[in-house]
Amino acid sequence: MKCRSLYKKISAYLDGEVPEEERHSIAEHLKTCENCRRELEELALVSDSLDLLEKTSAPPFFAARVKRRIARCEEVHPLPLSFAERVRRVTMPVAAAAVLCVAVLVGGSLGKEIYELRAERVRREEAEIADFVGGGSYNGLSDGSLVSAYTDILSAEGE
Amino acid sequence: MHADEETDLELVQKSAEGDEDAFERLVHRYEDTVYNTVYRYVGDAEEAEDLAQEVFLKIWRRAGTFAGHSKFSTWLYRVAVNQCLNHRRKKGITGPLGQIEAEDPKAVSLEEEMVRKREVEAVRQAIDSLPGRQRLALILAKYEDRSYSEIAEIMGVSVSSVESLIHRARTTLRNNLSHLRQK
Repeated sequence: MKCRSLYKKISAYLDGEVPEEERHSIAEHLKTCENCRRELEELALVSDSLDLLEKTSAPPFFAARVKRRIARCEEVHPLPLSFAERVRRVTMPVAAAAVLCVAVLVGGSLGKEIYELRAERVRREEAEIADFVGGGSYNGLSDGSLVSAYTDILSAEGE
Repeated sequence: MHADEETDLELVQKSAEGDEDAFERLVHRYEDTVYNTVYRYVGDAEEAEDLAQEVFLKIWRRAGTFAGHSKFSTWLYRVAVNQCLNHRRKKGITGPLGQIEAEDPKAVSLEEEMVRKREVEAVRQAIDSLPGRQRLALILAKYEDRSYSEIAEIMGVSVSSVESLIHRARTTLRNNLSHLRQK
């Protein structure tokens, strides 16, 4: 490696930021080149000088002050709603209304069907009673119908 | 889930939904990191706190934009770096920064303490003499232990640009601090 090439890489070498094989090549060059060694040494001393500035911590209650500042800013400039939130605020009521409509329609249809089934059953039983009262046979009465139950009772009493 | 087990991404997502307690936990996690970075850049405690608060305010307002494709710390540093660069530009500050009073627990005499304070001041002024981008690259590498590739991502430049920035910063500092090494 030539001095000129090393010069560009010397800081990266100092920080351990060169690939392994390049590192080896630089190390070999430094063994024989006093100028580059001196350059590296001086830059290392600069890094050492920077250590004089010690690490510090955030002041006490910093997070609490951040929170207060956010609250103050939002009073003046409320955060605009995100697109997702705007969509949610429109679709949720629409979805709820749609579910309600479907529930009403389905409920209404089911109710109507149940009503018609019951009405049909009542008509059938009335017809059976009318036949029975009018001298009709009580053969062929629907199982479980009120009239068949009544006739069963009558039959049992007669025995 | 215990607070310490929450990932950065989870805290950011909760913050995006308006969870102020989650955001406060995020601030606690990174307050020293942000404060140190901006403090080394501006050199004044009051200014650093103001700047650090602005960084977190921006993070709060933009939490919904963080998708987790990069590390949260990278994004945080990026906001801090941009805030530092904009801050100096807005204030039109070109001269030397304030001084940092570094306590030296090892000092055995007042004279040694005075000497040390002068050295610290010299280092501070030397760093201040660096152009903004060189200063930030050096701070991130030397004080925040960021890799060159991470610094490149934070500053939006190539790795070779980072190498160049840090090398130029070091050679400038070498010239400005040569009097310290002559002792």
